[in-house]
Amino acid sequence: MIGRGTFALVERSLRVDVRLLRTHLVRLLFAGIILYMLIEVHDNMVYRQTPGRDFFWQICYLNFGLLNLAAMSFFSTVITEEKEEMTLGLLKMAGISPIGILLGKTSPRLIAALMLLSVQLPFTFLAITLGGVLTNQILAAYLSLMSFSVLLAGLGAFFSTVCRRSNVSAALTTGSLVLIYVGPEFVEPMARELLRRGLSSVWLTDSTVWLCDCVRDGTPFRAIDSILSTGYAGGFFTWQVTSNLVAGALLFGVSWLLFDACTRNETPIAPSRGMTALFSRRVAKTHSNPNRNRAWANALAWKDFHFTTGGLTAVIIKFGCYVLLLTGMGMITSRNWGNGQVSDNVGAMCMFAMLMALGVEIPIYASRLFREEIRWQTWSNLYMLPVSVTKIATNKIIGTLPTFLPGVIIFFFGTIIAPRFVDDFFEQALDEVGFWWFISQYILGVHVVVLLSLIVKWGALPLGIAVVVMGNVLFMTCASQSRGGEEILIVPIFFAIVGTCVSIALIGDRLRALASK
Amino acid sequence: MSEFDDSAEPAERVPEPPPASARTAFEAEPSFESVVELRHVAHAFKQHKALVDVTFRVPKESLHGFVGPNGAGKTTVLKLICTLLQPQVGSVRVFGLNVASQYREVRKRLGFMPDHFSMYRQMTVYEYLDFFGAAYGLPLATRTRVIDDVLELTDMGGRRQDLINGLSRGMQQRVGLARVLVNDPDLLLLDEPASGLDPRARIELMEILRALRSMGKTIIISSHILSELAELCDSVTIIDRGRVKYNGTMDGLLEGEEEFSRWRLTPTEPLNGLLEKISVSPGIMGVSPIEGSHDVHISFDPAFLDTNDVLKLAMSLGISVIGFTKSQKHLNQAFMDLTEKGVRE
Repeated sequence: MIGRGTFALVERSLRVDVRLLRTHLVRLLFAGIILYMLIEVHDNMVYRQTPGRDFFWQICYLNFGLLNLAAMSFFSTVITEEKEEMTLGLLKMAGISPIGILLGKTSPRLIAALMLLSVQLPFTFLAITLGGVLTNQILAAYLSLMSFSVLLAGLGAFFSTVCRRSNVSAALTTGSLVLIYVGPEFVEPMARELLRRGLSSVWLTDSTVWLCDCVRDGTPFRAIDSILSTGYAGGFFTWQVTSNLVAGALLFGVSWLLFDACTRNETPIAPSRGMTALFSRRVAKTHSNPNRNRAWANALAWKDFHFTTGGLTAVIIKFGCYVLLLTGMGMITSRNWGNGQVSDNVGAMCMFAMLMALGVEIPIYASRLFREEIRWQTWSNLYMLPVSVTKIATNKIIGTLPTFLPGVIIFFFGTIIAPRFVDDFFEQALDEVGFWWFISQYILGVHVVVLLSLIVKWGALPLGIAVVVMGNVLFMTCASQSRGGEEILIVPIFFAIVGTCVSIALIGDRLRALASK
Repeated sequence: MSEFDDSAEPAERVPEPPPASARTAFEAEPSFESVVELRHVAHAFKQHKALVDVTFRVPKESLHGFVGPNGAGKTTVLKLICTLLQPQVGSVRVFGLNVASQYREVRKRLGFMPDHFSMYRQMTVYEYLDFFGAAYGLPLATRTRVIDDVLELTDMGGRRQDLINGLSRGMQQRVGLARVLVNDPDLLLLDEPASGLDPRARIELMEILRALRSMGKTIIISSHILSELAELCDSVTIIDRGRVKYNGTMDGLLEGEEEFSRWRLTPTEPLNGLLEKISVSPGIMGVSPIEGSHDVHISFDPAFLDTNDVLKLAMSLGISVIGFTKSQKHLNQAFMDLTEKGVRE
C-alpha cells in the first residue's frame, strides 16, 4: 500500500522545500519575531509578574495563528493542486495507492509545520529563566499545538480530496475552523433560548451544551490557557491532544475511503459560472431573446457583477441570509436588551452586524478582483483593451459594488430606526485617532490582500490580514515602551497611507508583468 | 514606464548596425507600406537574451508567416507588437505608432490571439463576444450586428448560446478568433492558432484566414506547420536564437538567391538519352533527374534563355511534356537552411 512511490513523493517535497529560499526566509522571519518578543519581554520585565509565561503565551498564539494560516492554504490544497494540474492520474498510473498519495502529499507539509514548531523548542526554554512557566508546561503546550497540526492536516486532506478546486477547499477549511471557534458561542445560547421558549427538550439542550463544551475544549484556545495557568498539573495528553489526534486520523481515514470516488474522473477545471449567470442563461435559452443579459456599456463592471460576485440572484440570496442571521441574533440577544427601545437595539444590531459583514466581504472580493483573471489566464485579454489599468481596476471595482448592497441597505435601515447611534458616532468616533487608525489599517489591509493575490497562489486573504496585524502588533509593542498617549497612533496612520500608495504602485507593476507572462 | 503614466516617452536606444546575416529581403525593397516595423529590437528576461537584434517589416494587407524553432523569440516579438511587452532596446512601430508611448491607439487597431485558451469559459459564446464588443466601446446596435457577422464568418452562429467550456478545442479557437475580430482590427496577431487542432479544423481555420485577408486585414501568424504557411502566406519572417534570419516574400524565400532559373519538367515517359542532349544545349546550365519520377530539374541562364525557349527545346527533342513549373525549395528546406541545429540555451 505504501511503497516506493510514497517515499519518492515525500522525498521530492522535502527536497523542494529545502531548496526554496522562500521557506528559509519565512523561518528566519519567524525566528526574528520570537527574538523580538524575547527582547520586548526582557525590557519590560519590571512591569510584568510572569515575563516568561507572557513571552511563551505570545509564542503559542503566534504559532496558533500561523497554523491556522497553513490550514487555509498549505494543507487545504494538498490534493486539489494535483487535480488542477491534472497530474493525479499520472500518480495513480505510476502505481501509487490512494493512501500512498495522501501520505506522500500530506506528510511533507505536516513535517514542515512540525519542524517549524520543534525548532523553536530550545529557544522557548528561555521562558523558564524569565520566570512564570515550567518545562512541563512548555512541552504540554507544544504537544497541544502539534496535535492541532495533525487535525489541520487531516481537515486539509479531507477537503482537498472531496473538492475539485483549491479555492473551494480552502474556503471550506476556513469555514470549518470558523465553525469550530465561533460555532459553540452561537449554538449554545441558541439552544438555551429554544429551551426557554419551550421549543426544545432539556436532554437535547444539555447534549448541545455538552457538545459545545467538547468543541471548545478541543481547541488550543482553552488548552493553552489551561496549560499556562499557574500550577498546571494536567499532564501532556489532555482532551484537546487526544481529540485532535483522533479527529485528524479520522479525517485522514475518511479521505482515504473517499479518495477513489472523488478522484475517479479527471476533468479539466473550468471557472464557475455563478448563480445569476446560470439563471440568465436558462432564460436566454427559453425565450431566445438576444437582448437579455446583454453586456452593459461598462462591460467590465457587467462581467464582474455577474461572473465574480454572482449577480442579482446572489445579491437577493445574501440579503435573505443576512435577514435570517439578524433574526437569529435578535432572538438570542433580545433577553439582554433591557428596558431600552426595541428600535434602538435592533438598529444597533443591524449596524454592528452589517459593519462586520462588510468588513469581511470587502477583503474577500478584493482578493478575487484580479486573482480570477490571473488564474484563468484572461488578464492579458483585459490588459489589451485600449484603456489604462487604472480604468480596468476601477470598472472591476464598480462591478463588485452591488454585491455589498444587502449589507449597506440593512446598515442604513439600522441608522434610520436608531439615529441616536449615528449622532453618537459623528460626535465621538470621528474625533478619535483610534478610529482613523483602524480605517487606515483596514484600507492598507485591503490593498495588501490585492497585491498578495497577484503574488501567491492561495491564501492571499489570511496572509494579507496577518501581515497588517503583525505589523501593528510589532508597532504597538514598540509604542508601549514610549508610554505615550493615543497620539502615537498617527505614526501607523502615516505608514498605512504610505503603504497603501506603495501597494497601489506595486499592484500596477505586477499586473503589467503578469499580462506579458 | 508604468501603465499609470502615459506621458513619458521611453527612450529608443538604437544599437550598432546589424550584422550582414540579419539583413532581410524587405530591407532592400523599402517602397511598400509596412504595418509593423521593428528596428534593432533587443529584449532580455533577466539573464536570458530572448531577442538579440530583430529588424523586420510586415507589408500591409499581407498574410505574414512568423516562423522559428522553439525558444527562437516568436512569442516575445508578438508580445512586443501587441503592447504586452515594451522594447528594452530599439523601436517597434505598428501603423507608424510607437507601441511604447501610443499603446492605446495601437490596441484599438489590433487583435491578438495568444497560443493558450485564455477565455472566459464560464460565459456563453454570445456573452463572451458581447462583453468584448462592449469593452471596446461598441454601441448595442453595432455590437449585435458585428457579433452576428463574426459568428457567421467563423461559422459559430449555431452555437451562440453554448457555454465556451463545453466547446471542442477547434470551436474554442474559432470563438477566440471571433473575439479578436469584434473590434474590427486592421492587424491580427495569431500565435500558434492551429496548434492542437484536428486536420479539418485546421483547414477551416486557414479558409477563415484567407477570407480575412481578402477583407484587407493584415495577419501575422506564428506557426510550426510550415506546409500550411507556405500555402497561405505571402510573406514570411524566420527568426532563430533571437535574430531574424529572413524577412521577405514567401516566393523570394522558396526560390532562393540562385544565379540561374530552375524549372521542373515533367515528361510522359523516361528521358533516358535525351538528358545529355538537353544539358549540352546553349544556355542550359544543368539537368538533374528527380529520384522516384521521370521528372528532371533544368537550370538555365535567364540572360540567354527564357522559359519558352527551354520548353521549345524540349519539344524539339521529341519530348512530350505534361508539366513545366518553376522549381521551388520546400519551406521545410528553407527553414532548415536558415536555422541552426540544436536547442537554444
